[in-house]
Amino acid sequence: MTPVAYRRLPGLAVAPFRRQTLWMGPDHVLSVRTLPFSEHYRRYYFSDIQAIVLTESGSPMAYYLYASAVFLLLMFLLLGYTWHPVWATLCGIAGAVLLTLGLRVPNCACYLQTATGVVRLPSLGRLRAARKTLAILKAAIEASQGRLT
Amino acid sequence: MTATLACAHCQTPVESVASICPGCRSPIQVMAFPAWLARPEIGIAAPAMEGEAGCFYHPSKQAVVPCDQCGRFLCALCQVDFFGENWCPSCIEISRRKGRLSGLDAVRTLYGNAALSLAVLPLLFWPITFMTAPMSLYVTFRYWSAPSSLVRRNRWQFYAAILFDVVELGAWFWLLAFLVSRL
Repeated sequence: MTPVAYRRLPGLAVAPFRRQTLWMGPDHVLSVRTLPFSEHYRRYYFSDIQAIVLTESGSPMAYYLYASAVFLLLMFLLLGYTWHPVWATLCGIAGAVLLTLGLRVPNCACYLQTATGVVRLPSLGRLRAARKTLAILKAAIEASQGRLT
Repeated sequence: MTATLACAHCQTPVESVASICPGCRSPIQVMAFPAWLARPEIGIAAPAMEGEAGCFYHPSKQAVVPCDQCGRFLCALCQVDFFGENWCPSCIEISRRKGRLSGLDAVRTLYGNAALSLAVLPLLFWPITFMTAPMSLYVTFRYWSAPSSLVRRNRWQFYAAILFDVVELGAWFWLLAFLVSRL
């Protein structure tokens, strides 16, 4: 068998010692769960995909993280202005970390339906990446199955 | 009968053209495709009449096609459409066991990551590196040509592991030579 060439699709889900990504093959989409020493694959063939459902789900956790980050970044400026470099640096680092975490909180859920069941695509947890990926997948699935009229 | 589409958030059934979930009022985007309306194909194997060839695995069922690998006659239940060919389940299983269907693997071991971890992580407790560096080298050369990731086909972890191992073993040899010269 010749190796299949895969193209990385937008979206990433990261957890401690685990990450999930989506890759597009010639006739299927490959969901990859990467652990430290192994990779686990699931293939969803374009001809088998019945539907994709994307639901927006704003989480309050993101707003808490943003608010904390803004507070810490203001503290960073204030402490920097009053010449407390150590505390200012600590507040700046903590603020940047909280801002990064806030940007990673999932704000949507995406499910893929086939004849055998419904599976969640964890890598499509951010709306922007999910919309980009779904546009690519929709074009590929419609090229395989045609349009639903 | 078609399967039901449901909101990913609250599992309320939704229409294929819905933009708001009727259950949780979340904005929703539903993309349905023709496979959603298609009836599932169920293989019905007809019974073999007198004088007709029977399936190798189900002799009482009528054979409809030979396996393109082993040539055994197969009924509609045993026939698997496999990349445009007709295969029997046992040929698929044998090929999978022999590693000929590596492109369809469900799990791959990342030996490169194992070798690199074996080279780098013991540095936190450096005296054990005299054992782990040769182990890492063994893993590197033993699994150099083993199938790696399906999606990222590079070996930078192996190269990095070799680099770390050479440095660690070089340091141990230097330390040994230094101690011997002081005796």
